[in-house]
Amino acid sequence: MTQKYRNHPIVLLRSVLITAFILLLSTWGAPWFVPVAIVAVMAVISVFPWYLTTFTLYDDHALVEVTFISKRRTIVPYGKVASVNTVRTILGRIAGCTTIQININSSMNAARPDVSFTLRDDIVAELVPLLKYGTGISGDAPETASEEDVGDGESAADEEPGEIVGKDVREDVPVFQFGFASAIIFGLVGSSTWSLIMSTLWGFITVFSMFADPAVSLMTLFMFIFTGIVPIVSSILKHGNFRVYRSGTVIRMYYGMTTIFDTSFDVGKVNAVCVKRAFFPRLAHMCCLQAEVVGINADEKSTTPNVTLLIPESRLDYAMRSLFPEFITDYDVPKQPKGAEYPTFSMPTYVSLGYLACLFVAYQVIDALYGNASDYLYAFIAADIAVPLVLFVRGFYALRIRRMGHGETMFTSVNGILDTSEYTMQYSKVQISDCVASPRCRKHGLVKMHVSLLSAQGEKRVTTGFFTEEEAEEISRRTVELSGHQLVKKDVSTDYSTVLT
Amino acid sequence: MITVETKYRTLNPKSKQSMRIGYSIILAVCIIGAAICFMLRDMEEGVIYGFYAFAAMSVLMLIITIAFPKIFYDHYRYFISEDRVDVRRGIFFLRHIVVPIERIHQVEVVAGPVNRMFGLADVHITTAGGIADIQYLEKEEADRIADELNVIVDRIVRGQRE
Repeated sequence: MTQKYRNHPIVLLRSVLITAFILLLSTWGAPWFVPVAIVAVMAVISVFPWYLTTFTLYDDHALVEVTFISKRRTIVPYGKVASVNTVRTILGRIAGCTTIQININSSMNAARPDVSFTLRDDIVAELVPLLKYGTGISGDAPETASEEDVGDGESAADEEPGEIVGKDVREDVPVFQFGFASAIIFGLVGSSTWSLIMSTLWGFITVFSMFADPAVSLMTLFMFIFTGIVPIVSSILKHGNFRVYRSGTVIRMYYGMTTIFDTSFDVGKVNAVCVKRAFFPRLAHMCCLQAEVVGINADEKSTTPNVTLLIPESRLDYAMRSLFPEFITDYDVPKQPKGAEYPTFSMPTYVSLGYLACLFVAYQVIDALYGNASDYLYAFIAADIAVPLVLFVRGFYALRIRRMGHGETMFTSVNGILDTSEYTMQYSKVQISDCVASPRCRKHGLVKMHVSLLSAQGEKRVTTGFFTEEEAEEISRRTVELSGHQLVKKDVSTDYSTVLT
Repeated sequence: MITVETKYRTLNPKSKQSMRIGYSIILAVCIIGAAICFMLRDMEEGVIYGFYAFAAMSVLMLIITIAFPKIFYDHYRYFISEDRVDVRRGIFFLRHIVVPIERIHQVEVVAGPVNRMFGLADVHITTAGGIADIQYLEKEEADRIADELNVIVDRIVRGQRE
């Protein structure tokens, strides 16, 4: 396993074409030999780094060497690998090549693969099983996951979102598979409700401004397309034909309509499991499962990667048993204790008072400067009412939604207002625990916790609601107690304890 | 090698002076802003409101400069044991930060110009989930803590390799 590989020439062609296109645009109108010379120079310049970048798989590590100008060696030990992805773009499919992405279990550059190499399909087919075996992600590729099998989205799963394909979990049968209809529903309402509201608002403004001022409507249409249409369409294209498998301790996701993603990771690398309930799916008793694993959905920079699309709440238990039995909890997740209403509503009160004071000052300043503040009186009154109202409604829902429970090895926190997230984390995955208590909280013996963990985007802080100081201290204590549980061997622990004393 | 500390330790009193100088710099900027706005008040009508804003900020910064360092100092406690770094800090919002030693990836000692004047430094503790810090330590104490934590991190990494 020591053969050196180079990136597929399509990578070279792609980078030359993109750069040449930009340069050609900037030299538009120049004599014909200028663009020809630019493309020729670009091609020559790009050939060297392409030729001098090699990728080698060894028994215990992967090595990327770049010897252009300076020599750089990137060593990726298999023991540190969090996930292995293969990505097939349209261009890649035309050229018969696939990109292998390897992600190290580290917060540094988590949203970017540590190794990304494009190789011929047959080489990838040969290397990926070896790579998965080497990294411990040894689940063999199920036959059903081949591109031919993915079909056109008209599978039985289209009948109902989150169709359970196999009642018993088998390696070659997806735990869940979702058709085109599921991807459309997920793309429309499955992600951030706030983004959906904003894009709908832009849509309304666009329609309104078409009648009022067509010149303005072009700009709002542009905003509507980029904040609403593009994210929804890209989500649909990305999540079409979504399948998720579990084989042994390996979870494998296969999805995408234009670019096809094939992601595998060991369940031991899951830092947290989240049950996401966006507002509209919540009304229909639907949710989706997400997992914090470094490197999966590496191109989505702001979201927790989805392991399923929208599934009915009634199937959540099946999903957890089939995909994440390690994260099934046996403890209660109660609401916030008595007294939580004081800190919950004290902040909106202070903020509202401050906000009203600022509005009053603004009104006086406008009146003093321009003498026409009374023209905007109704706008001021509306603003006076709207913001405090939103803050108090938010507080009311926070009281209803926030929950926290803890057991021997895990704890669960439910948070969010429009979209709720139910995070279940193992203490052994917590990096930093941070309890915060405002004066109002201290009066009632309550604290709020921020738990830092390694996420798909690098580092993430999960915030809980208000809970008793004892509960928060218990979580901190268990975090410390179990922190070395999986990492340090007993003899090593004994070894350094002698150094400590 | 490392001293196992079971009781919380407080900061060096010099930290209050360091904090005061840090806040005083911001206060000075606010006062200069207020003075400039006051001098230019006749040039344009709205400039006087800039003066009011800067003046209000100056008063606020003066209160912060006088009161905050003492409160911060009184609330700040830390200890390092064989299994955790434990910091209690805050002014209005009191925080209790716990970093399991096993989670530490990197330890760094940082001393800004004001801290250097008083022989103080901060220790930044990097984990995969973020950075925690112990602030306003004496330079020798910061170096000692960093060295000892680095020894432990090194042991853990070697333990994992084995």
